[in-house]
Amino acid sequence: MSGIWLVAMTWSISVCYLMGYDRSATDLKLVLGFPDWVFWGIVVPWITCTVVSCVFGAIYVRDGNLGVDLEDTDDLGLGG
Amino acid sequence: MGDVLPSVRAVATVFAQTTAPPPNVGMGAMVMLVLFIAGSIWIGVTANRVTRKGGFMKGFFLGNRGLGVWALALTATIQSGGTFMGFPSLVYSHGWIVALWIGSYMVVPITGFGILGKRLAQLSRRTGAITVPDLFRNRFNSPALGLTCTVFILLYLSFLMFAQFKAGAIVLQMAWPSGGELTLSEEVVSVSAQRYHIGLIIFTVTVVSYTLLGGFLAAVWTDLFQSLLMFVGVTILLAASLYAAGGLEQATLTSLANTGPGFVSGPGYIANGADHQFLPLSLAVSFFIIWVWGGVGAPAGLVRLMASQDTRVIRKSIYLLSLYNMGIYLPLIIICICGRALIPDLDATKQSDQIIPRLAIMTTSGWPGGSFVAGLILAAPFGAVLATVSSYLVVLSSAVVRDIYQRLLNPAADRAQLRRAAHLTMIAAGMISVLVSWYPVDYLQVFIIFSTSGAAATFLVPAIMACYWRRATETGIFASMLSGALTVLILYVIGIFELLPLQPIGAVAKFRPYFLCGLDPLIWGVLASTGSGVVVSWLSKPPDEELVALMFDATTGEAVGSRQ
Repeated sequence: MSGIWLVAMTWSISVCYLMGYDRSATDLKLVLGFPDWVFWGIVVPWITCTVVSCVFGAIYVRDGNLGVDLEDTDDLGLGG
Repeated sequence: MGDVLPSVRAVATVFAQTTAPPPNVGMGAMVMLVLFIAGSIWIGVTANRVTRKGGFMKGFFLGNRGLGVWALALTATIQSGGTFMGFPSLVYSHGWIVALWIGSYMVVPITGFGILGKRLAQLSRRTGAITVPDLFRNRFNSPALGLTCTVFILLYLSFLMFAQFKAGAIVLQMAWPSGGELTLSEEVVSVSAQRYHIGLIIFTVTVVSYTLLGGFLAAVWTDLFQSLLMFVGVTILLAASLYAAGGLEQATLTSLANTGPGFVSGPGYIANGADHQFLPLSLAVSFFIIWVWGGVGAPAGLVRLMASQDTRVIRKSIYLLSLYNMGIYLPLIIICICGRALIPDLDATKQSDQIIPRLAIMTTSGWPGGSFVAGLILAAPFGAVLATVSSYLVVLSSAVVRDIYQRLLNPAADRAQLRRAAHLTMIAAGMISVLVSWYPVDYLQVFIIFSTSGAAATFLVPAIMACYWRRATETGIFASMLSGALTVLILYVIGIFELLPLQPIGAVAKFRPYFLCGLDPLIWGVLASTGSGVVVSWLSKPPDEELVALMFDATTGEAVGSRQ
């Protein structure tokens, strides 16, 4: 899961920096109304990460026993 | 401190200093907000009935560990007044680059829930922990560690809370009807200040009342309610804003014409051509780390994971929250770009926090029943702030009641005494917040970032060590917490008092840190926390084997807490 974060960070920052920083307004290209660096650097990876999160969560996060919850934990053992 | 607490007249002048006149609103907006307030009180009353079952502490502060998918997924985030005031303000002020600034939210659910969710829920059951300080106290069998956690939680959550109170008051201020019997004054300069103060009081009474009634469940249910409302509100505002602006392409071009090239490129737009960079590369990296790991380590998020029903809930929450985040943050960015196109003249340092309420009122003003629709949209940020403050009140109160009152002052406290202590804590917190927020602070988001950074640097590494590292010791956790907290604090002190020359980067505000090597203080805090936690744990006496076995190998539900 940290790997997903690392890949997302590397992609988004690289694309946004290389395509979007210190860019002249005359160079501006829009994709569906978004500046192209926002579309490829943020919108597309966001959609991708959402899909990956769903798939990864379904496969990797297994159901497991969380343990038995106590009846009453007002207990410092002393009252309450 | 003189310029941090301006005179009342200066505050009123602040509200009047705008080239954009206050919008006219009908009664509908206020009616919707009143309905929302009434709904929140009703939730509080209902939650009160549920929490009366079983023990007071587990019911009032942890909802009897009954959080289902929707409650966990849509309330474990750190959406708040920052989401609807601070963040939109930044988009309005600095442009498309803020999409990168917030971009790591794309991986918040999978990282946070995936790494800590299951293990934290398991550990809290084994230790019988109700609160985050409880968790650390019982995991390491250390009352001192629990108390240290309590102190840190009080510190950070107080800052976070103060920032939210301003946001709530602003929404009510904006929704106040113009003219008629509710007109407060003929003097324009003082009207806005009066509305703000009245809004602040109404907001405080509302949130303290329903939280006091229903505790953790009230906080979670209102959070869930407002999350759903927020989604509806953002969707309506997205459509309305795009329609008014003539589409996203036109909005981008118009906002560019209203500002300058920096609005559509990195490192972002700065008004008046100042020699300042909003998001240089170093800060871009910092914030991609902060929102993920800050969220993972946030006490209010940790306690929700502790309250989840089972692992199925945690797993499904990853899906739900991923979809939800995408449906909130990307639309908000688009809305604010439209906002800069439609309302170009808000003063970037004084009025930009109001972009969402102003847009809501403006884009619906020509609709039949438009003010009611505006009220629905305004209810979303209002609800976010209410829910956030409510959550913080619960965490604050639990820390005070459990770790100070019950453990130190009155161990034999009965149910009535515990309930009274919880109520008094919440009321005191509300009153202090009103006093602090009476003079509104600039740049709400900066307070939120300070507290987020501080809390993450304090709790993130210790939480991961407690969950996964058998060799972690009490002393190592202490060192980890203290070094993380001190690092962030020192860097903010250097910045606020300008002990070193400040770099011209980041949000433009009085309250800002020193960015060592251009990185946010959280990065240095986490590094310090990790290094000291690991080194000191290795150097200190190994933990008790029996306790470690109970935490990592036990299959029964015997709680360490019950042994005390």
